Amino acid sequence: MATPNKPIILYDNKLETYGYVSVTSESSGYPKENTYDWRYFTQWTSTSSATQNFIIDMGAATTCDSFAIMNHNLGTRGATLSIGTDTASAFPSVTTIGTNAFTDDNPKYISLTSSNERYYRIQITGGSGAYSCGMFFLGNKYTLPVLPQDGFDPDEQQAYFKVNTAITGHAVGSSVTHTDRMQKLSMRYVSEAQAQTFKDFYEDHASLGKPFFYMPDVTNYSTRIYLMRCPNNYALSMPSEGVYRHLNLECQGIRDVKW
Amino acid sequence: MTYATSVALFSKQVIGYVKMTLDRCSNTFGNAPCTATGTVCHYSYQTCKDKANYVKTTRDYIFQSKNAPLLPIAGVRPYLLSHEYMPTTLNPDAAVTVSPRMEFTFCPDWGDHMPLTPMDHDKGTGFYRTETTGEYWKNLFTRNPNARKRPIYYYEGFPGDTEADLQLKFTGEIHDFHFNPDGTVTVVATDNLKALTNATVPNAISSTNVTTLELDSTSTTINVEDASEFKFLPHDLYCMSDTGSTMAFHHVEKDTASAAQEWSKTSLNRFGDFSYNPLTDLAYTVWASGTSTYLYQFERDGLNTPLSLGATLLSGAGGVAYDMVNNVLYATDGLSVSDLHTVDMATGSSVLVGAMTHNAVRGLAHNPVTDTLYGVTGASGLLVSINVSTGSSTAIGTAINASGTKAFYGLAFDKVDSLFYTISSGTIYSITTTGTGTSIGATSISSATGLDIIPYQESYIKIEDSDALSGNEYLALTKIDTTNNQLTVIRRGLFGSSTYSHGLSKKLLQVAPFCVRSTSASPAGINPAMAAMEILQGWMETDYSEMDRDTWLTEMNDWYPSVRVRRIIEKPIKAATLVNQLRQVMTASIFQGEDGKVTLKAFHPINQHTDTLSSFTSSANILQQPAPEIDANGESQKTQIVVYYDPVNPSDETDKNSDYGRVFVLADADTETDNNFGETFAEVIHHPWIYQEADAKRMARQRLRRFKLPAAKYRVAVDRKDYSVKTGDVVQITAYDFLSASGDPQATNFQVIQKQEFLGDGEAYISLQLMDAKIDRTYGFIGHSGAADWTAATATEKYHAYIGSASDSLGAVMSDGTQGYFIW
Repeated sequence: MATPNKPIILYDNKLETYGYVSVTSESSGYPKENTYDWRYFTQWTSTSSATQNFIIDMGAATTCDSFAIMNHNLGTRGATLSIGTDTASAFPSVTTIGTNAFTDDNPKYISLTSSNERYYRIQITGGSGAYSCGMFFLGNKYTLPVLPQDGFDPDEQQAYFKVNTAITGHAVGSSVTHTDRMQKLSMRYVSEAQAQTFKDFYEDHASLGKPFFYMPDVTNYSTRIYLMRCPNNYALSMPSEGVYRHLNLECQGIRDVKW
Repeated sequence: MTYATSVALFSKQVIGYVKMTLDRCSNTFGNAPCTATGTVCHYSYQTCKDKANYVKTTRDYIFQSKNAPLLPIAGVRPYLLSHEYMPTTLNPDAAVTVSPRMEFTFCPDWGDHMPLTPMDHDKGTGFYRTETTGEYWKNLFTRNPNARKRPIYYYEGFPGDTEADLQLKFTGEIHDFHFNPDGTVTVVATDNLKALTNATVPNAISSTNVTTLELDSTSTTINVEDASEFKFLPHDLYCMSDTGSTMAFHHVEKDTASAAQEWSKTSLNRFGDFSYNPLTDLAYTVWASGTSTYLYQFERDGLNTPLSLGATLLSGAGGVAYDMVNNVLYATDGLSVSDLHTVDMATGSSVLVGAMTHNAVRGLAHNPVTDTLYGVTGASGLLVSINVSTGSSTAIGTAINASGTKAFYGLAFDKVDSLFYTISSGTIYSITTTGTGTSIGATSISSATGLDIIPYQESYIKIEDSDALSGNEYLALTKIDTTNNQLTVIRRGLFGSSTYSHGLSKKLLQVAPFCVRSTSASPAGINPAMAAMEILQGWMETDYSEMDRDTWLTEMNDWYPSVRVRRIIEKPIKAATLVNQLRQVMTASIFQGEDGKVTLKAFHPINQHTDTLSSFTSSANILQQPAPEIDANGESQKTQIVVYYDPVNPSDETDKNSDYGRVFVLADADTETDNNFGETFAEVIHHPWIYQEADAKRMARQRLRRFKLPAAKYRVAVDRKDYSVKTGDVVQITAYDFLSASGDPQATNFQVIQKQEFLGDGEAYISLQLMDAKIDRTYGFIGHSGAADWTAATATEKYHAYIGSASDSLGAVMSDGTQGYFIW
């Protein structure tokens, strides 16, 4: 295993802030707005397999270094997704800052060549059949300031099930309700500035109960990208020790999203 | 993977799925015919800005369990937090059924911090209102306050299931919705039979709705204050077919041509058109054999094999129509040249009226509103009117198939919609009264021979008249003219009344006769299963698709073919009361099954040849938790059944002994002796439907057999793998909770009186409330061909009846001393 990487959080979605100028097509009942409403189950769907362009105008030059996608069918369709930027909305000289040819429908994180432009374009091309997607993220990653304490488990989860047992003791069947994915991070000795950045994440997003993408280690667990949220009424906890602060983060999400 | 396959697996992840079908306008805002302007509406009636052009259609809103993998169904929202299911509960001892009810709780979907997407996006950019505030549920129900009474469905399935894979568990209507303090929303749903609770049979007529013109003893119209208070019951289209050697009877949806076979009779073919006579509740058809043609009658429910009434003079089997106005049956030849005949409905003998102008008229129908006979030509589908005095015919409009290359059979007239129907090569056509034919759609019916409209019940009224030279009179209606407030009458002096003259201001009642519609003061009764069906489909207008008619007719034919009830109801009575009374006569249950259809379930002994008896044991089925519960149910004991029947006034709902003409008492003396229980537990039943001693006896006998000893209740939980057991079924339980005198587990038959499927955090099981069925005796069934003699018979064959010795002090015995058979 390579050297551990700090967990990454994607929460400040520029698509939620700026929306789209246009999209090539959208099926009745499956609008483009569904891709940034944080509800992965509401989807955008194209009307055909033709190349689809989502055009974003951020109003002014804006940096973005990360893209994520969830609840899509681009692997099934054999499509390629690319993110491009330009100085004009017509994209006369687009610069591609990230691309991925999909082979499965699992959630996917794409690290972008950091770009500072006003216009962005998400392009889907090359597939067969209509495309659909439940969630896009386009923005900047927030890398947690330090590695979590030892004992951190990137695969932690809890299944809720019950075995039905007959009077005589035989197990006759089991019923599974669901499985929660859970993450509990403890980060010690961070600077005051780093603590304030964490507080911004909490106050601007996590404390509102909004979901976010979470990646425990993009190098060692590259396929692990979870849609998580903090538990109800989750309290911010940043106790101090001398000039340092200690951070705690607890989040949970449903495990069984298409992988 | 099918539901049956998934649920049989050891490990199961059950996912709940709710579908609500709400109203929606099919127009697009501001586009013709919608003339609305300004801020875009939300396509609901409540938010409509051009109600005159609102066009109602529907839209499905779908939800699944929140904590479960997302089903691959477009548009599903994982908002279902929990559901509570108060299932159908049969109470055989109290003779009532409790209708099911479900409550679904959904999580909120706040828009404060996350954008809400518009619900009406499907109208396209610029034609929907952008969603900027509010909350999903509040927005939905604020815009659709009429969501109440709209359909709601509950399904269950497993990860990866498409909607087609899901298993329907409940069908009902939205009864109410609540916004809870914690932000969740609860939707309350009731089953389709809930409507019975408040509805009445017949409908009430205002006491001020009286005659406004005098009528004499021959008048065929009645002028009233408000004709709109009177109603026609639904009329459905039926088709007869003739394939090979099988005659089949099909129900056909008039608007979609969707067809479903109701029954068939083998070894019968070569029939022609048919026509239904609502006054006798019999249908008539003709049957061709060589050069001879015979008149046949049959019941619409296929109860008996069609009966030959006698030979006619017809050449082949052609059109048949019953004229309600003049009580005449008409028929045409089935060959290329048609003559018109009248046919005697008792003997089949026919009289030639005359040659028709048009040939091969293979369908006839009578319009009682205009008292006109119509036909349809076999090759071209041309509507013709027929002179019943001469047989000559006159073309109306244009032929459906001008080239004359098709083969049209049967003609039916729906007086409610003023439309004719005919069929050619399985395709149903409607024809207007001006002769314009339109294809409705293709059916699955091959070789159709006839069509007719059959009402669940005709419309009858009573004129209350106490004048010295007059009296009360029952009449049958053919037309309700709400414009001129006039009722048109086809039969007068029914049910023993006379055709009197009636003065002004005589009160009118709509009446519901459940009997043969004749002039007799003591008309024959009808089958209680058919009476219940008339209430549900006729008076309650339960949609055909919501009735489990196959099971209904099978149960009726198997268990109650000869039971008869009779009642003419004049004062509105709650439909639920009437259905419960009919259910009691049959020792049956009427409830909405898991498939959402209203079904009839007979309680009867198990016939090992045809019935499936599920067997549950302590080792393979009955769960430790929730632990089984036993209720000895002593209060269910009835050692004596007293039935008051043959009411003096069948219209009245009364429990006064003196209001009934006869009483039947059946007691179990042995149970009442001091050596046994030493007490009498009597059940007194006042039954206004029963008029024959045999039916009072049968009901009393079956109730006494079941309840002369207390019928214990047993609540057990089983795994979802045992989901196929249904409410009303009989199951055999072998467990240490029920022992023989020697202390060993005693296999005992129980009836499932409630089935509740639990699905919650960490648990999914089925809770069954059972009641001791008390059908552990050996009941005789008619044996199959080739069965072995008693001494060589297999155990299964012994479930059939064999003849034993005459009854002695020990009862009847077989040749080897085995106890004999009992009659259910």
